[in-house]
Amino acid sequence: MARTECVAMILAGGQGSRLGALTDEIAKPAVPFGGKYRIIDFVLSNCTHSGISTVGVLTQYQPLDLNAYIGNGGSWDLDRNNGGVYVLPPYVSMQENKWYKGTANAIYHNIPFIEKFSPSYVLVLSGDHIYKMDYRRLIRYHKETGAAATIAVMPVPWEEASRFGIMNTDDNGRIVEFLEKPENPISNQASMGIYVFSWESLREYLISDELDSASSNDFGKNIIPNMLDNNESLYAYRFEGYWKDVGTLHSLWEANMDIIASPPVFNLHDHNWRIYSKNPIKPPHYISSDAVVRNSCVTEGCHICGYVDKSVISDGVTIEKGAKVIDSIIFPNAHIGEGAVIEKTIVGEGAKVGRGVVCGVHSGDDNPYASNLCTDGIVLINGNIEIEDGAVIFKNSMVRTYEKGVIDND
Amino acid sequence: MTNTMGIILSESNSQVYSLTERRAISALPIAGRYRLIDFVLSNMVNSGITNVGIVLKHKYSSLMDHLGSGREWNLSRKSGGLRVFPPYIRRGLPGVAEGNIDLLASTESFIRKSKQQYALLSTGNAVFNINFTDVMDFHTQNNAEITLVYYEHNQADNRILSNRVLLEVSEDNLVTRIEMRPGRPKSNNVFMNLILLERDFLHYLIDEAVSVGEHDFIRDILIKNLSNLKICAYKFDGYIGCVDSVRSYFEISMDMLDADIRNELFNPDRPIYTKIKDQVPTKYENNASVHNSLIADGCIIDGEVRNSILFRGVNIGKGSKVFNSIVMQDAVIQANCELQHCILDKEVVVRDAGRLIGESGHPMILGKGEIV
Repeated sequence: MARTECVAMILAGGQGSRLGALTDEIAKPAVPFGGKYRIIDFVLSNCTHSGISTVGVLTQYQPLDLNAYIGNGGSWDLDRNNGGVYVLPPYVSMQENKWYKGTANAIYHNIPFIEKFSPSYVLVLSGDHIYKMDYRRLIRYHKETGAAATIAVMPVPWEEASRFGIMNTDDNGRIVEFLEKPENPISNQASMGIYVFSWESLREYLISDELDSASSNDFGKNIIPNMLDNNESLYAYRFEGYWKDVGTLHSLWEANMDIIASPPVFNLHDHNWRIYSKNPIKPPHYISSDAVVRNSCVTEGCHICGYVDKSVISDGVTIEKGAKVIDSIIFPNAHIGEGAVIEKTIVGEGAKVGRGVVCGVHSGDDNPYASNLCTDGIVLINGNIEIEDGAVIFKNSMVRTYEKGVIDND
Repeated sequence: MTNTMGIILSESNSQVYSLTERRAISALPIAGRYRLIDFVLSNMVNSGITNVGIVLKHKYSSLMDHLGSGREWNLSRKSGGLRVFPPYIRRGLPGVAEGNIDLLASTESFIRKSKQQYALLSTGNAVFNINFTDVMDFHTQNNAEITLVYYEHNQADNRILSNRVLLEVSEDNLVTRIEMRPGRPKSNNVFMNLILLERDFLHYLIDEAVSVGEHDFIRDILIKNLSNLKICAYKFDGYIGCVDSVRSYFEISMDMLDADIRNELFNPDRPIYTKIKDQVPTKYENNASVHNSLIADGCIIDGEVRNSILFRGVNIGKGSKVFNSIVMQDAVIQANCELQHCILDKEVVVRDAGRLIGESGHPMILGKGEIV
């Protein structure tokens, strides 16, 4: 195999349990986003635009959809005759038969894969972040400082700093201390979970970490602290731009709203940094004479006859006459029935919302679908379920399965 | 239908004026994100044809760019796939082909070396969704030597019929007479420029025709052989839009606003493929007001749009009104403009407060890249 300067490894095995029903059957990186994307499109497109064409995607949890979605990588220009995209699930070897125990362990198990390309650098990325980033600049900074590892950081609001891994650096940007979720942070530079390592150094740390039975085999908890303890030179690379970890339903909802804000908080209308995706093969969308659509985005294959405001409408969605969709995210191929009112709701793929359903408008004490994952009034309707005509779904509900007649529509 | 090869002849047509000044008619953008050729090409692919040759006459660069390796149509194959034939000069043949026989002759070795038993010939200027396996079944059931596909034109509209090739068809599906652009049409069966026959037989017919200096497949092969060949006609019952004038282009475009036609053409089981542009979803701003319109991805709309078709990446500024118009890719309509009955080619810019008013039936056309 020809030598490759930098191999990217995307951690895409997380369960994403805080996304509730959305990740019951698909891994978090395969969750739809922004109308025609999946979360993993952002990191894959960043790799392509940064000239990184050898990419390993480490899967573990519910990989079927993700594997099918990535295919041969052609959608991201990653179908290469040297390199390209590889889906790397855990596998059985002569010595052992183990799932990926942690992020570092996942990379450890793929040392033979990385070695095939004899890279100088390995970029470790997360498959569930929404951002546009030119990794070439990060790698250039890594080369300039001659560091063993460089960690991308961004300033977060001080009051939120205690939720992140915080980097304390000296004046030159060298990391002197790394604190995971500190109670009293002295810096607001948070780790974005984006690392570039000099491969020789990382390989040694991965091997010794694997020998340590007390380790949880995690980059943030073990590898980075071990490197700091050994006085390796670690640098922080300051990223300025939009970045969001869409780990919760509320953050997923917020990130979607960020692309439709005017002007957009996160701009996808960017010809120099297009986000690639597996495009649906559908005609342009149709807006009927009865429809009102504003402050929203709509994509191919939709048929809109209702009122849509501040919402993200994915491909193949039908919104019938008289229906109102506000502050919501409608996933691909969902159907919103006549006269339904949908507010601050994530409607899953292929879900069918009946006529006159009222969803996310009222609060109720006696909510059979109440879920502590659905905060700030958000409602989640699971994919491929049907909500019967006239049903009322209260705020903060997660409807995994809907049984007729559970809620009286008074 | 893997046992059939497809050949699409991309002829130019001067009737569509400035829209085809720099592109072949089959490269004409239609329905917000397609080019005309996408329909017949997708129909072939969806019918199982995996070996397709596209013969270009001139003005072929936009079509070459559109087709690329054929990947979007699943035609990037090791065996067969997409073959594009730009015009070239060959000994014994004039540089620019006079008729469709000359175009076919230029692909002689492609026809000869293909392995399929049958060949399906088509032009690339119609909007329709057909399953060619039905035509094949018809061809074998009728023991036809040549099968022509037609549709029944339901209006007695001489303006259209006199401009087409018409077939008189007997009760047992035999073609008994062919009228070429008749002044007084007798039939209303319009030939759809689709011909199915055995590949060897096609090769023989072309060879024979070239040797006696003939140019037109219909006049010199079909009409001349009407009595000594078994030529059958298959009737297509679906929607068909054949673009041969600005008027028909405009009308067919507006047909796409009809849900029934759209659902038939864009049948999810037989999708129409096209070149992918990775555009973002269309953004509707606060002042957007869109009614009865077909909108492709990548647009930013802050104005009013009615009864119109917007292609990918169109910008409609605040206070602008776009009525009964077709706006092609990457056109920019700035603020407070008014457009009625217009066709804007790609990358047209209409500056602030611009006013462009065409007439119903005679749309105002702005050429590619014009700035008003």
